[in-house]
Amino acid sequence: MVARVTPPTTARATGLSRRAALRLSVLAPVALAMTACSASEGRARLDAATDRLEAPKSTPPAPPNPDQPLVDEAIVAIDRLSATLGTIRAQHPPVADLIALHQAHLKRLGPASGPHSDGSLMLGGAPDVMTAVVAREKDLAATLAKLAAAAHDGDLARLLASMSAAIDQRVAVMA
Amino acid sequence: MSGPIKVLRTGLEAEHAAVYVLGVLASRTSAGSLASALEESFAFHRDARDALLARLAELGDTAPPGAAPAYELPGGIGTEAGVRAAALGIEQRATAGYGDQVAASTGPDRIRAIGWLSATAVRQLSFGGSPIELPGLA
Repeated sequence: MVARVTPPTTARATGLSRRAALRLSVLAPVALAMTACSASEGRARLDAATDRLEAPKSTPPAPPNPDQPLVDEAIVAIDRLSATLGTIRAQHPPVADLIALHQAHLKRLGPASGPHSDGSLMLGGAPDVMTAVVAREKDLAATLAKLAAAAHDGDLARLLASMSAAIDQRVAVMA
Repeated sequence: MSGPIKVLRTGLEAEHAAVYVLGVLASRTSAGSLASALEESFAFHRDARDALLARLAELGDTAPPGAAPAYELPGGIGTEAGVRAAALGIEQRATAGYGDQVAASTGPDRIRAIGWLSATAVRQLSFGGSPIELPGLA
């Protein structure tokens, strides 16, 4: 029996595997070409490639919040009643608790999207001012409940409904 | 299971438990303001349970959760103060649950939940609760 012997190749003779030799043969022209380029040309190509990978310099504006008009309406309604109560605070100390509640709610809602008039409400000609205050608070609770029903965002709806319920609690205590 | 059905089912389970416990609390309370408040609360949660059952049926839920044979009773209900505290706890949990329904629903379901949230927040006052900044959220 005669053993087959693979004839030695040049690569094997130089200590390289066939695969390594193949890689060398493919890459060698590329390496030569690269070394032929100037350093500045290579840097320019690298920069261009990097630029393609980077994020755009300016990001598009966020889409408008569909609930913002509703939030603005809530802020205006709360702010107006709070300002109104502020005008009678000295004569009617119990409204301080209501003002504190409204201010806490305003803080939860954050800023309005734009300026709004700071006008206050008329408490009407009710003989008892506190009766008029209760009526205004009920109106505000109803407004917040209505806005909660209309909100696109569920969490905002829950927040507005909770604010409405908080006012209902105060009104129940005052009744 | 769709989102609305899931949250309504959770609400229904809570109403089953509330009706059971409030019934026990009422049975241990003699006539008076607390008994009246318990009676009112029991009627409210019984009606809420029935409304949720009807709504789930409308939504095609053929197997809504039923009531358990019994529910664990809160501790300390041997005294009037304990009964009051237990009822307050039920109303506070209900308020939070209705808040979840508000967040997860739309249209008439949300409007109903907004009304229930307010009603339970106010009823907390008759069981010794105090007005807070955000009922059901705080």
